[in-house]
Amino acid sequence: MSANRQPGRRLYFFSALATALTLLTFFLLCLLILSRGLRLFWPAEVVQFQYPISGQMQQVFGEVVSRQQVNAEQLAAAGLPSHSQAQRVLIKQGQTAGQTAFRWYWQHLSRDWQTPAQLSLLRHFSQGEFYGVVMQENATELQLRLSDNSSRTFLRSDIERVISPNQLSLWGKLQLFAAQWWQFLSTEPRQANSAGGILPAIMGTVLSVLLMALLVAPIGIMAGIYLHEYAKDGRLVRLVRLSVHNLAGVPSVVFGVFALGFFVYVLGGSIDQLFYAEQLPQATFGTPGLLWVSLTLALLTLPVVIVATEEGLARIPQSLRLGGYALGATKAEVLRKLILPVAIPAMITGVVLAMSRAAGEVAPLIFVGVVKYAPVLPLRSEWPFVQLDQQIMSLGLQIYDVGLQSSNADAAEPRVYAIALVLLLLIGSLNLLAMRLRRYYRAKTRSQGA
Amino acid sequence: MAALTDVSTKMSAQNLSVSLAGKTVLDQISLDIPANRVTALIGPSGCGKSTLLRSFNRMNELLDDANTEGQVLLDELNIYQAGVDLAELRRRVGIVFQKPNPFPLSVYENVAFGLRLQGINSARQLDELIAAALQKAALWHEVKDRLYDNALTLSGGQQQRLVIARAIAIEPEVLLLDEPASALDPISTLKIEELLYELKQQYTIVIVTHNMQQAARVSDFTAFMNLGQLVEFDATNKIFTDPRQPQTEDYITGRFG
Repeated sequence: MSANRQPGRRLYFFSALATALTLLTFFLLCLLILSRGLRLFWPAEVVQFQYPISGQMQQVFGEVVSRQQVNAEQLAAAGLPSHSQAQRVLIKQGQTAGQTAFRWYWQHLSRDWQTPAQLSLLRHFSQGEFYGVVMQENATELQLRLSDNSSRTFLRSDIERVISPNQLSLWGKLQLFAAQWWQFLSTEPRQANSAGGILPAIMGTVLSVLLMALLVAPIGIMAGIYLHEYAKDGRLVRLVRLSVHNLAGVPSVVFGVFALGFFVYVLGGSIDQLFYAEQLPQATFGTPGLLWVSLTLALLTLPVVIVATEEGLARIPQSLRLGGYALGATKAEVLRKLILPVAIPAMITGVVLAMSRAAGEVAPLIFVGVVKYAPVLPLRSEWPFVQLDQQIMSLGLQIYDVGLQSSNADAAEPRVYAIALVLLLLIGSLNLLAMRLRRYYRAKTRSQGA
Repeated sequence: MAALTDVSTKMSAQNLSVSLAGKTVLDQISLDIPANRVTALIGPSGCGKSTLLRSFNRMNELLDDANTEGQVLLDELNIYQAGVDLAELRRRVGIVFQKPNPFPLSVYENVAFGLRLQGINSARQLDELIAAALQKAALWHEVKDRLYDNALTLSGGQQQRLVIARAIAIEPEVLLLDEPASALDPISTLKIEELLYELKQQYTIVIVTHNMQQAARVSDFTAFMNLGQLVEFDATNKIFTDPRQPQTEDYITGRFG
């Protein structure tokens, strides 16, 4: 008996372990992205200290980004006098004369650390961030004393915000945090996406995914219904089903190449010749744009919807169908009045899962209309309210662009996490919506029995 | 009890053979179902009695790879001939399955389903017909205050009576019952049996049952089947007291089956 139970126990143990690992990974991911992403907008303490630069003590203003322990070997390798151990500090010092915005300083060489209340952070619309002390201000101008004691005058209209974090109470910091988040979500990007907000990217992702849902839902659901309810189980249907399942396994970038060749050039080119001939050779639809993005996403997620629909239909007990036929209902009546009401939650789930998959897609979309920078929203005030031929931004590509194309990796990192957080929240809320809808429909039909 | 000779025939199977997925399940069955009587089909498991029942309203062809030969007459009409309207046939010949299968709708909508298919949509007419059907199915007193509750919240016995109400709401001529009480407790079973007694005044009933006592209690005629063949068909008291075939006697007395 006990010998018999041993393998079962082991299996039980490993299953529990695997589940625990999965949960742990998930929580770590959430924790990392939350902590890194939220930090971008938290007003950190501003410090000042003295540091010897080329023999002279100089003043440094900035924020501490991170600290690192360096051991003796690494110190020797760097050509420095080897203490047993040393600490170095990464300081975000903003725009200064002749220095990078982020710089490492040795802790043991620095002197005289202070956190003066009047030290401020000035965020300029076009030139980046400055740390300094506000000397004079009036309605049109503001004068800032920088770390090298030079002073600089800024026009009020060029300044996004002046913050003095050391003076702020916790409540003040929270307010500022919320205000900066709102600004991030509701404005356009600046300085090659390295500053400003991500509104066009959010709107681009949301619009393309909604449009995709409109395209994929009817096609996918009807295909699923046909395959499950009407198609005879022959060789052709098996082939179709196999193809659909294989479609789900095709790397998404392949869809991008296909979409560029077929949708953009062939389909778009034909549309241009037929309807927009007077504008040629200027292409209207024969060039990457929102419509092709949505169509590519729809193609990409079609298997998800078809499979979900088929599985939803397969779960419906045969007795329900027989009950309908027994009362003299035709096949169409049974399908419409008995089966679909019960199967709709599964179909909705399929569509929303497709949406959440599509929201994170990047690779195929670079071919068909998602670009780094397209600040104008693809919206119009008159019908059909969306500009289908316009290029769009997307959150996924923003992450790539900010993370990999930025000249300043230290500055880009928290921004990457912040955008990732927005994308995760978007997808998370879509999934939440799917669960809500499913529960709503289930409560309405109570299909799973009493 | 009536003898076979002095009742009219409602349905009649003639040389009926059915094979499901290539396997012969019914072999040359000929059987007359008397009008306004309860006919019980009994026999060991797998003898084909459920298949015979389903062939009376062509439900078999929904299930598997079914192939039917011979004919079944309903008032002189061969229901297997080409051009028969299946929906119309199933409206005239209703069926209730072993396991209660109410739709995941309200009690009211369950009964209304068949009526709406008939094109009856006026609320007053529906209310009347539904109340009448539920009363006939002896369920009215139990559900009259919960007509708009989901049918799946009813007990098993109530569900089965609801399914019967649903079937008789569209006023079929023949009611086929496939072990309607086998999944129910004794009290629910008793209620269904009483119900059958009431219903046979109006309908021709064919019931498949595994329960000998039930067959003896509720039916006027009994057909004993074995291995896809009709062994014996006669008035129920004749079958249960003085069967002609020794095989029937063995089965009824529990020596076989």
